[in-house]
Formats: sequence, structure tokens, C-alpha cells
Amino acid sequence: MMDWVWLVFYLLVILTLGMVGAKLFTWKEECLFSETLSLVVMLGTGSLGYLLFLLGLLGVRPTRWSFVVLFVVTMIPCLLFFRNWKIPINELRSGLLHITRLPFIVSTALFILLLIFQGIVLVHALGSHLYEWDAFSIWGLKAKVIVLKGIMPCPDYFGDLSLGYSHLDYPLMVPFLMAGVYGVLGHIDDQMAKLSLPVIYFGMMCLVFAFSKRRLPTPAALTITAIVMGTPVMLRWAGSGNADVPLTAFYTASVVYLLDWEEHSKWRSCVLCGMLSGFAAFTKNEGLALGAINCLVMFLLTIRSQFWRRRLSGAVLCVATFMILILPWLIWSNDIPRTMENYPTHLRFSEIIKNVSRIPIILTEFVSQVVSIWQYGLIWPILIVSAIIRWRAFCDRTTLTACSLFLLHLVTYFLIFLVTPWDVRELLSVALDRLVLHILPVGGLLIALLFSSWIKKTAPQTSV
Amino acid sequence: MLVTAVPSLLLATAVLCICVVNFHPKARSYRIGLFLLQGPEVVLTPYEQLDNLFNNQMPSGNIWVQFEGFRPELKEHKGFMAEVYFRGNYVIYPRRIYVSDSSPVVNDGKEVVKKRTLLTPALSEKLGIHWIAVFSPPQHGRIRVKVRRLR
Repeated sequence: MMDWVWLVFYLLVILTLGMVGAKLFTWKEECLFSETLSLVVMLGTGSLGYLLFLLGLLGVRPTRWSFVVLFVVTMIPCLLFFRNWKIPINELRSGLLHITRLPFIVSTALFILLLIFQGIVLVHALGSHLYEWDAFSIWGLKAKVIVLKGIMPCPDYFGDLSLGYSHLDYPLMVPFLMAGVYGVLGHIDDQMAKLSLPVIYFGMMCLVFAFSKRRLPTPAALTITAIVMGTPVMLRWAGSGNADVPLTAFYTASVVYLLDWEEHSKWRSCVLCGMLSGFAAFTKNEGLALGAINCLVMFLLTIRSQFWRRRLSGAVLCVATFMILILPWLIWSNDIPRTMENYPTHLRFSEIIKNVSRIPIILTEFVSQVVSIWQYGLIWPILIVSAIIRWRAFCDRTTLTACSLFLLHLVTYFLIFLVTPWDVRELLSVALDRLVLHILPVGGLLIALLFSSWIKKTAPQTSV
Repeated sequence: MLVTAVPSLLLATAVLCICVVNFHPKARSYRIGLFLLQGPEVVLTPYEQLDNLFNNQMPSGNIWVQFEGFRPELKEHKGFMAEVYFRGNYVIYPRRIYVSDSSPVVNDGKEVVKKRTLLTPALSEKLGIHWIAVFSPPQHGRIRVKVRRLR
């Protein structure tokens, strides 16, 4: 019984951190309720993992005390911000009425379908121990190291080559979130370790819905959310204890705010883009590459922009936020031995030329993923068909930006497979579905953009 | 009319497809629901055997693991050896499982097999080995192991 109380306390800390973050970034802004919810979840989970890491650098392990301190510290601004806050009953009621207005049956059915998906993820996460190989041997093991030994001074684990299979140099967002659960519980329980994962899944669901809702009628927005969040590959990994879905969530959120910056040029969007890219980089190494792509695209947005000075300042702000967040991790992890992958050292022209023969193998596998209805439903065929029919939509800068991010992401992963030191066939068979998962919600956002131009509901006017 | 009908039709097909692929008996999400209804032990038996073995039968000190009668060229044998090493090291942390000295790099299952060495008294002393577990190839899903206490 007491365990459940502590688990609720853990969720409460995520909530307060998220509410403070969301309030800071949406100060006097009109936001959709679902957008605020997604921001609360993304900032709450991301900041919790990251703050526990910063406390770890000070030699503090995740314990009940560190959670109490975090809670008290975040409650102060929370009380200040929400002094006059009342539950937005009218807003919620009108939101629900909006969802259930005609076509009533469609929206309600989709809403129930999304609830079922959330239920599957919740039950999978909390109903099973860590049983996926990567989940226990990479992320679960690190969580145990963190809660038992801390990270300062650096424990022996991070230099133990005989445990190299657990990828000693992988980032620590998910291990810290798991270690946080162990910390509040006061013991190790790898069933409850995954508590934050259904929350992150919920946040991503709200994010995709909010993005689509801003451009499309409610039933269409709910449909796009369902075809993204209900893909079998998403449901399989969301509650498994792997870091792929948290990475997908942070990365998708960073893309949403990058597109928001492109459309509305609000300063908060570039800070959020940098911050969420930083969280993605602290979740998996792929996030570092994706964060770098985001920063690059931020700079590319200055090209042919009438307000290029503002754009340039925004890009610098985004890069600065991203760098500030990842620098402590890069410095701390600098001495950890890279026993195998270390992709930056493999990304050489000579290496690419040497492995040219892999191109047909990789292309075949990528194509087989696109047509695999059992893993992705119809999301990729719909994206391709709508992109062909609505090719004129790419004249719109936002759609073009989303498409560029999508393609750059694909090219990056293609290059990773081209230079990987692992057996490429083996790696493709075990990892490709998870890597394609990272890009899946961005595919959904792209569909929303293409469909919005299709059904003539005008997207919000761009200010710059 | 056609402008809204075509995208609506596409989206409706996609949602139907998602329902079919998720709630079909072959689907992973269907199986997740099923195994949770029947109890997670349906899926987790191999790990539960290993977890119990390492936690309950060898409750203290580090463990030296040997494999007898295994043929590394067989995929299931190789997979089992890797599973013992990976799962064991996770389950008993901060204690350790060794198949060799701690210095060789073990990046994947193949290297668990390749880097195995014999245990000498000096090595046992250096690594703080308390137990030796000698595994034979599993039969009908049951793990076969002989456990010997060193100290």
C-alpha cells in the first residue's frame, strides 16, 4: 500500500515540474488544453530525469529525500503561479462537447480507441518485469547502478569492459527515471520501474492530437492520433522499458516547436525546441544526431527569410539551450570507454565507400518496413499517397520544413546502417523497427500538414 | 464533396487497418493483453528460473559460470549462454557473474562464448568468486545446472 503512495508522489513530482515548466513557457499564451497537457508531461518527465542527473553530479543519489527537495522547490513557484487558479471546468466541458459534437459516433469511437491503446501501454508497463533484452541489460542495469552507487564518483560499472554489451556510454534519461522510482520506493522493483513510460506515451498522444487539432477538424485530428499512437510497433515498445518511445516523444515535441517557430516565430518555441532536443540527446545517442539536425534546420530557416535577424537569433538561442543541456552529460561521459559503436568515428567517407555494397540490403529492409502493415498499419502508404496527390503543399514553408526534417532523419539512419561495425543484416533485423519508430510521429505530423492543405482548413497565419 | 471524401476515406481505412492489426490474434498488442490475463509467468518462465537460481541458490558473492556440452555453432545454445550472462549480471548486480577475467571486452552474445576461460585459484581469489554454476543445455525449457560453493 505504501508503495502506491510513493508512486503517486513520484507522479506528483513529474506533474509539479511539468506544470511549472508549462506555465513558464505558455505565460499569457492561448494554448489548447491537449497542448498544455503534452507540455506538462514532456517537461515534467524530461526535467525530472535531467535534474536527477544534475543532483547525481553533486553526489546525490535518487532517494525519497531528493524527491522531497525537488517537490518542495517546485511547489513554491507552483503556488505562486496557480494562486488564483481554478479548475477550468467550462473549458473542459466545452472541450469535451467539442470532441463529442457531430460526428458524435466517430469522435467517441476514436476517443475510446485511444483510451484502449493507453490501457494496453499502461498494463504492459506495470504488469510485467523488464524482460526485453535491451530493457534489462542496458537500461535496467544502469538504473540499478545509479540507485545503488550514484554517478559521482563514477562507479566501476562505467569502465567495466566485460559489461560492454550494456553500452556503457549510452545516455541516462531512462535509467534516471527508473532509478527515481527505486529511490522513492526505497527498494528495487523492476515492474514499477516503467511508471514514467505510460505517462510519456500519454504526453505524445496529446502532442500529436494538439498539432493536428490546430489544423484539422476534431475527428480527423483524433484519427491521425490513432493511426500514429496505435501502430503495433509503437504499442509493442511503449511499455517495454526501452528508451525508444521516450526518445520519440522528446524528438517529436522538439520538431513540433521547431515548426511552431517557423510558423509563429515565438521565442519560447526555439527555447523549447533546444530544450526538448537536449532531452532527446540525453535519452539515446540517436537523439544527439537528431538534435544536431534540428539546430541545422533552425539555421537553414534564416535563408530567404524577410526577418532573418530574428530567425538567426532564434537559431542561436536554440543551439545555446541545446548545448547547455547536453554539455554536462558530454563532459561526464567523456572518459567512458566506447567499446564498439562510436558512430562519429565511423562516419568517414572511406568507410562509406567501403560499405557501398550494403546499400541494396539496407534499401530493401527500409522498403519492407514501409509496406509492413502488421507493424505500421497504413501510415506510410497514406503519407506517400497524400504527398504525391498534395505535392503542391510542399510550397508551404512549414510543410517543407517538416518534410526536410523527415528526410534528414531517414538519411541519418541510413548512414548509421552503412557504417555500423555490427553485422548489418543482424542489426537491421533487431533494430530497424525501433529506429523507424523514432520517425513515426513526425510522419503523422506531416500527414496532418498535407491533409490540412487538402481539406482547405487554413493553417494559422504565419507572422514571419 | 470529393475534396473531403477522399482524405476521410483514407483516414477511415487507416483506422480500420490499425484495429485489425492490433486486435488480431497474431498481433503483439493482442498477445500483451492475453499474457496479462493468463499471468505474466507464461512469458517470463525462463527468466524466473534464472532469477531464482542466481538470487536464491547463490545469494552471496560473485559467481563463475561454466557451460558444458554446449555447441556454440547452434543458435539456441549461443543465445542461452548470452542470456545467462546478460540476465545474471542484471539480476544480481552489484554482485557479478564472470565467464572470464574482467578485462576482456564483451560486446555481444558471441563474445560471451568466445572469451570464456578456465577458473584458476588465483583468478577466483582476484574476482571474489563464491559460487561456480555449471550449466548444461536446457531440456524442454528447463534449465539444468550444478551449483558448487567455493567459500
